[in-house]
Amino acid sequence: MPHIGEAIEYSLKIPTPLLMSWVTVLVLFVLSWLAVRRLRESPGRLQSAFETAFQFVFDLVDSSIGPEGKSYYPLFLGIFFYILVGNLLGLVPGLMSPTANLNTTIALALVIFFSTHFLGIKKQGFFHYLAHFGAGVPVWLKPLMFVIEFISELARPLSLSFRLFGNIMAKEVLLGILAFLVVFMYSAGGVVDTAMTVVPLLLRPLIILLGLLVGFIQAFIFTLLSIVYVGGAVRTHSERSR
Amino acid sequence: MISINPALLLVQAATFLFAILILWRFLWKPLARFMERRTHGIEQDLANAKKSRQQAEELEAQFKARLAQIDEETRGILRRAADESKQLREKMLADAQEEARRLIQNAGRQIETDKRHAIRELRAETVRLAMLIAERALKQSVDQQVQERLVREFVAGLGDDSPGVKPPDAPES
Repeated sequence: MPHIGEAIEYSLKIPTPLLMSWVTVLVLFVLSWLAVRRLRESPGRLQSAFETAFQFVFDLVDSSIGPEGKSYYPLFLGIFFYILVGNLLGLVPGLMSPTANLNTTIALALVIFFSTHFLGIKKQGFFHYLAHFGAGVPVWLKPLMFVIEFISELARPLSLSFRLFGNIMAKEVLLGILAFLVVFMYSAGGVVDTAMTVVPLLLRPLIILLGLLVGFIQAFIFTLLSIVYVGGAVRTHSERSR
Repeated sequence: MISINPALLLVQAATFLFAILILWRFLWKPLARFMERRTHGIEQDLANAKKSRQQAEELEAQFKARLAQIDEETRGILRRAADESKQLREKMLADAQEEARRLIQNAGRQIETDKRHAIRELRAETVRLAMLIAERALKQSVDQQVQERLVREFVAGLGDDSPGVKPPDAPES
């Protein structure tokens, strides 16, 4: 199924994932503006949905980082909403999820990666922060632990980006294959082939529902892991022990 | 689709960061502050409600204590009133009995006085009548001296409540 983005990419030379990112941002702007243009004590549906999502993210941050996590609200709200809207964008016919592209997911994971270490160093100081890689083990084990922790830190953005990319890409591919099968079987001409068109036609809405679920779950997982990573970096060893 | 394009990657990261910067600054921050204010307001209301409840409980305790005190005072007043009424009743009864006794005494004295007075009057009347009778009876036969002696004997006989007894030395009429 040809994407609108691919046609624009062909004519305007703008990469489709980037274009879809802009669409995601635009959708977020419009939805956010509609939600907050008239704030009411008894909120409407959209304001209520935004407030629920905000409170959900705030609670996650507060429970993982504590009161000082308030200053990180924008980052995690941004991650959650951007990934959620990006994931759901692929369910709209003709559009694709920006998160179905590895460049987008790696970019997001790198933002989290650098934010984690920047905020950790800012909070604890450079050397103190480095020391936490080998904290809680005997001195002779510290170098080994440092290497393991360092590799673990590098693996985090990889796991974040590939998990999100894999899930959303699989959904996109599955929906594309089902759409292709509908067209292919219907145009094959045989009675059996035409009758078999029903199978992908029935499966596609189910996969879209599954995509909806996966979109929410992946946005939640990415946000939760980001909060855990940042929380682990900004909290000192003693705070973590408590 | 799986190829990594560093330029695209950087632009995507910049797009994301720019987007959350603008979104937070102009749209999400007002909503977050609105929610915070509302939460603060609700917390304030809850705190006020808790405080009001505590005050109400304190007032209730005070009222209960005051009611108990009033109840005790009422019981005391009733008890005192009952005692006073009992005392008053006993006093009134005693006064009435005293008054009755005094009235009876007065009546007795009055009766005694009246009796004595009546006796005296009766005696005087009797004397007068006796004198009159004696005077009439003796006017013809006895002289004045004898007559007076007879009267004196008669009167003396009355004082001894035995008018018929004559003194031993009294002369025969």
